[in-house]
Amino acid sequence: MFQRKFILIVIFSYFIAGISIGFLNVKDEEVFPFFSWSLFSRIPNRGYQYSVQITEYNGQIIKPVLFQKASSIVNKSHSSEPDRIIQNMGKNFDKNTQEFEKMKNLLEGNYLGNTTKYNLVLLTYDPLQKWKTGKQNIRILGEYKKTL
Amino acid sequence: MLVRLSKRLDRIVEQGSITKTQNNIRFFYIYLLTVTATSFSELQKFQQYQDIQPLWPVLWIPWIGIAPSFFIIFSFFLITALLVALFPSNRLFRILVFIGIFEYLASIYSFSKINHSSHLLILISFILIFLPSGWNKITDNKSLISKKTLFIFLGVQGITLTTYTMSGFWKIKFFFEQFLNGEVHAFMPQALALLIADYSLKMNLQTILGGWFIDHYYLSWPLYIGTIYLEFFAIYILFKPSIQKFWAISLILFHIFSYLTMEILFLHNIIILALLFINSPFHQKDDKYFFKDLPIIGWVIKKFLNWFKIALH
Repeated sequence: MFQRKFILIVIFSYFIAGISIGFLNVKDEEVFPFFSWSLFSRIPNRGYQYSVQITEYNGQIIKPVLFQKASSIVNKSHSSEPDRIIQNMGKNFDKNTQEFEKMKNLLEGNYLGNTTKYNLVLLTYDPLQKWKTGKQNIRILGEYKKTL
Repeated sequence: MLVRLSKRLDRIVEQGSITKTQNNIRFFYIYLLTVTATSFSELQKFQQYQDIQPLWPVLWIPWIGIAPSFFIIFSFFLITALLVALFPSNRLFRILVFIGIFEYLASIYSFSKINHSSHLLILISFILIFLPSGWNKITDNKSLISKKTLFIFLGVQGITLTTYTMSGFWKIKFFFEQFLNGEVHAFMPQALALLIADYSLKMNLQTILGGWFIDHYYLSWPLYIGTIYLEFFAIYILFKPSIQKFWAISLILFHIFSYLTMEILFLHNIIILALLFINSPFHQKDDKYFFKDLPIIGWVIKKFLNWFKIALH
């Protein structure tokens, strides 16, 4: 019966495709709509996070504030969408200029307000310690400015 | 082994209820219509974006422009979802709605971030294209069309469970890797607390239960091990209809827990799990001894009960 063979082939192929994507280190473990389904698989012993630190907004120098905490001056500060862009900026910093520029344009075009000066920073921390004390190290990787 | 699997699937299909299957498929397409109708509230937001990194199915967007392209995609999805909700027996409409949701999701994920809470909608829509003609009219459980329909529904269940098994597979894989590297790994008490803390810090979240579970991480330990168990062995329940209800409820609770601790919501998965497994056409009647069919745990319980019986005699 066609249907019996068909479902076995589809299920098996999807499984093999997804697992292969995971092992082959494909970008973001995804060739849409095939995905490795590796979600929260690795336990974060040490936290690494790229972030954007806003230093100037509308021509005014402000107290440096991280993107995630700047809800009044950026778009969707809590959302995972700009966060993924920032992480990709960090990963491609000094490695893949073209991809870095793509991500930078996406961030500036869709999530940052007009005339914003910002730093790309790397935060390192122990997750449980940071949760309790807020302690973390901040290293500035680059300084950028979005203008109209 | 494949022959044994095939025979096992044949037996499951023979016991399936065609009426429940038909109703579940109709409900799925009505649900798809509600998804597209509610998505329209987000159309304006996407039309305002100025830059896009299109995924391969929507590489054409930059040629037409973001705003008109999103209007076309959202409208196409809405119209096809309406048609298939009204006429689910029409294969052409099922093909069109598959294209509709495929383009819709590809377009909204073209801003660098792919969300995975809607992937099942694509996979299920794809499999349902292959329903046999006349699937919605039959009443005889023993007919060939009925069997073909039930096999397709089994495929829908199978692909859903496969995604969970894959997720469990990677958790086990990284457990071995981190264990061998001497790192904190998935089977250590603080594993889930570390995941919640790291994610909450990255997203700047204050969730209802997240902080509490970080502080009382010993209580989160069994929950995380339970999650790995549920995910990794998910595909097994395709062959054990007696535990499908229990498994689905457990996975739904896991999704609710993920939302309360990390604000990660897999709403479509919750609906799909309820539809496919709590209302499973292959689950005949509730069996209070269903736990005997659980992978590993069922085997241990059976051994223990046998040993207990022998000890009593």
